[in-house]
Order: sequence, then structure tokens, then C-alpha cells
Amino acid sequence: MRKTATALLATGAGLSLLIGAKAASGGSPRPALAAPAAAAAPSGAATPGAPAAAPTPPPSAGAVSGTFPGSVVDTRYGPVQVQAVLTSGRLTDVTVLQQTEGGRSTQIDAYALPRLKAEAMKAQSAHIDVVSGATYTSTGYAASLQAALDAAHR
Amino acid sequence: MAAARWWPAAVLLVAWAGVPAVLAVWWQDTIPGSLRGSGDALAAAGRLSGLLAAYLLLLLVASMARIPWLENRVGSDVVARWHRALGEYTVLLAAAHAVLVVLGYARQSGTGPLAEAGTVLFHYPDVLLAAAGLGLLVLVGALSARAVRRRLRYETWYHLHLLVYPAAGLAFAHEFSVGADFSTSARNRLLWSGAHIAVALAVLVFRVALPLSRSVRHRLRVVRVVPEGPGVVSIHLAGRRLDELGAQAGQFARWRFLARGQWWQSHPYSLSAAPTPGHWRITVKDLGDSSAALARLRPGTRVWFEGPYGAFTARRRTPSRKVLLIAGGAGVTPIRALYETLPGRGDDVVLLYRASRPADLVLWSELQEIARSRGFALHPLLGPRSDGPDDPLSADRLRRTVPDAARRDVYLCGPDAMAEAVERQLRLVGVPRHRIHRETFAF
Repeated sequence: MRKTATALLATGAGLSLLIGAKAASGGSPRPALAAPAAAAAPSGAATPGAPAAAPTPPPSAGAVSGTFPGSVVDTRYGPVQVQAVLTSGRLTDVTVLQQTEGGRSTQIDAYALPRLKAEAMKAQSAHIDVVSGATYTSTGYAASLQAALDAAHR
Repeated sequence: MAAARWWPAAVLLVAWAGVPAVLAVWWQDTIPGSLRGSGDALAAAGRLSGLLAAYLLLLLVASMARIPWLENRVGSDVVARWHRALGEYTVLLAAAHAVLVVLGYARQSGTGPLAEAGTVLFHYPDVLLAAAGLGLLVLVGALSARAVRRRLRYETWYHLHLLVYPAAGLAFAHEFSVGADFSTSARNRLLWSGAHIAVALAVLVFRVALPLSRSVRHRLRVVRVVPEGPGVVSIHLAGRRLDELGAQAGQFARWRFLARGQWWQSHPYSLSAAPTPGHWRITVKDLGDSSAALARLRPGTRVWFEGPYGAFTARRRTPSRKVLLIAGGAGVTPIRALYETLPGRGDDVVLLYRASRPADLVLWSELQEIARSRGFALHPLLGPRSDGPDDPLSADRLRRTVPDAARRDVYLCGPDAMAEAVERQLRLVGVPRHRIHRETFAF
């Protein structure tokens, strides 16, 4: 029993180090739009040539109004798609058309989507941070929203 | 064969190599920067401990698959010791996985741990099954704790231990449906199921198919039951072409006697005489379980068996070295077979036989007979057990009885507590660990 306890303590220490090393290997907080290509590759042709880091045109520029669906972004947990609602160039709402589903994903989306929306409304753009524990949803959300905004300001 | 001592280390090395591989899967699948809060860290720890526990559970099942090569080269006793040490750890790790995941998810989503546990259990696919599997694992682990195990009959413990198979099966489904490392990677799914299929096949082949086919082919039967002393009987067995099985002195098998009240249980007993092509013998001391009923076995009773197994054979010895055999009580049975068959003469082989009273010296007249005909030394060591320097197997007394003990290969078989104590004394005498060969008969 004592050996087992020692082994468990050592395991705990080892795993903590490993997690610490992994956490230190990426910056924080992380912008959702700068995700690695593999994590959130936009599907379809909705965002042709839109560079991920390109600044969104200032909201006031076009004074556009309307509802603009974003691209469908395939994440490893399923497709994510949002649509942006703009009123005179201001982002007034983001609604979710498609979200990841099943088990953990459903729960993650339940808490992550409202936060992502709040962030997007505050930033008035897709330049939002990844929500803790919801990396894939966040990157999919940001990429789809960016495509919607691009379409609105075209 | 001197190389034999490297086998255990080689097997351990291969088994441990899986651990960094499992950790690497997690490392690869985790995006840098996705670990930000304490919730993320807890959930990551939960995922890692789950991956590790699942891998170790697979190793645990594989270690008990009775793979002949493991049983005979590494040794059933060594594998059983690993299994014991790793079992406790794995059960606790699996429990930690469940707790950490729930706490981590609760932190991430800002819910209470209890509410989160409910969500995970009832709304995540296959998690309820996995929880049932974890329950079974914890049950088996608790029953195997030394304090509880001692109070259980061998059969009860053994049969409840088989619950590990359904437990592993129940846990498997959730690894794919909610385990992010598998649900999203076909390569990982393929490797993981491949490993599980290989282990399942090993269990089916070596624990079921091989014993069945051997039992049918060799038609083993009881020919005679001979009382050897108080509570001790020898069972003589006859069968066809037993030489094909390559049984060696010092090995054991698990025996299932197809008689009323006996057929549903199997017990490990050592061969107590050199095996011949048509005849085997085991000697059983009434250890309280059902071994008493063996005295009433009738000649002609069919016997199914798993084995022969064990690395407690002449193969473990260093060819140029003399041998010291040490037996405690009923542990004399494999020693008796080795005493009869080890090559050498004169003082090449010395046997120390520890027992409380002369009446407890099982097979004594046979041992005297072998000592006479081969010229081997034979020392009965009588008296109550003691841990002090007066015990006949203390380092001082060992040195006096066998002055060259430190240079010999030692074969040791006896009750667990005795064998452990003697191993310590032997180390004091100066016998290196790799030359102490130990067989345990409590498993």
C-alpha cells in the first residue's frame, strides 16, 4: 500500500509537470482566429483567400445592415457555423446555425457559445480569445464569424 | 541459462515503453494554449490518468493471460508479483480519472461537482457503462487487498476476480465515444482496438482453448491417492503422451478435478516428482480451502489442467554453480522434484527443509532416499518460527550450515512470509538477488 501511494504521488507530480510543460508551450490568452490550420480549416469557398489575421474592416465603414451567414467550419468534433446580424455596420447579434454535438461537445458549447458571443459583440469583430476548455468550438466560431463579416463588407 | 535473468527486465522495458507512447498521444492531441485555467489542468490530468489506467488495465489482463512464454521464461511467480503491485495502482488511477474529469469539467463550465457528475454520467455516451466497470474494478481491488483477501476462500476471490473482464469491456466503449484522443483519430482507434483484440485473443487461446485441447488430448486421470501424513495426500495422475507437454521438475499446473463438488474450481499445485511420459504426481497439503476434499478423489476421475507453467526449474540456474534448495513446509513439493532431477552429485546440491515438527516434514522418507542414492546433503531444520538470530534460517545459522551458501544458486519455496524472511537473510549472507529463485504458492 505504501509503495502504491508513493507511485501515485510520483504519477501526480509527473503528470503535473507534463501538463505544466504543455501549458507553457502555448501563449495565453490565445486569439481564436490564429488557430493552427488543422484545427479549424474552413470548408467550402465562403472565405476565399481571407487571411486569418487580416483585420476586419472597421464596422462603420460600410454602414451595412442585414444577416450574413458565415462559412461552415469543420472542426474535429463536427461543423460549426454562425451568422452575423449587422445594423448600420454594427454587429448586433451572432446566432449559431450549426454546432458540435454529442456528449462533451454539447456541454462545452452550452457554456462556450454565450461567452464567445459576448466577446464578439464587445470586440465588434471575430478577434476573440479561445474560451477555456473549448478550443475547437472557439476557433470554429471565430473563423465562421470572420467569413460572415467578410461577406458583409464585401 | 544466464540469459534467463534478463527476460523480466526486457518484458518490463517493453511494457513501460507504452507509457510514453500513451502520454505522447495526449501531447499531440492537445493544442498549445488550450490549458489556461485550473479547470483545464484538472480535466487534462483526468484525461491522462484515464489513458494510463486503460493502458495498464490492458497490461494487467495480458499478464494473466497465461502466455506460456511469460509463464515459463519470466516465471509465473514474477508475473503474479507484478500483477499484484500494478493492480492496486491501476484501480486507484482509474478512480482518480473519474474524479479529476468531473472536477475539471465542473470548473470549466462553472457548475457544481455533483451536478457535473450527473451530467457526465447520464448525458455523455457510454459513461454510465464505464462507471459500472469502474465499480467492478474497485470491488475486485478491495477484495484483493491483503487484509480482505486473507479472509476470503480462494475460490470466492478467484471467481470474483473474473469480473475484471466485464469491467474492461464496459470501460472500453466510452474510450471511443467520449475519449477525444480516439473519437477524432482513426489511427489511434486502430492501434487501440488492435491491442485490445490481441490481448483478448491471448486470453481465449491460452486460458481457454489450449487447456481444453490439452485436457482432451492427454486424457489425464487420477490413478491413486496416497496419504503422506497428517493432512497431506499425493495424487498420482496418468495420461497419454505427457512428454509432448515438456513438463519440468519445479513446474506447476492448475488442476480441475471433474468430480462432484470439485469441477467448478481449479487450484495450482506443483509436480512433486520428476514428470515421466505417462505419469505425473502432485502432493497437496490441506490448506483449509477445498484441498481436504482431494483426499476423497476416486481413481479414474478425469482431470482438466492448465499448464504446466513456471520458471522455477533447472533452466534458471547458472550451470557452473552448486545449488542450495530451501523448502518451508508444504513448499517442499517443487523442491522435491528438483532435488530428484538437478544434475550433480555429492555436495553439488544441498537441501534445507524447514518445518515446525518432525511430523510436518512432508515426503521425508523419499527425500532421504534421494539423498542416499545421489549423495546430496539433506538438513531438516525443526523448531517454532522466530525472527531472531536463533532461527535455523537466520543469516548466521545459514552460514554455519552451508559455508559456501553465498556462491550457490538458491531455490526457495515456502509460505509467503517465510520466503520473504529467508530471502532477506540470504541477501545478508551475500547471495545476489538474481541468484535467489523463488516460487510463491499463494496466488
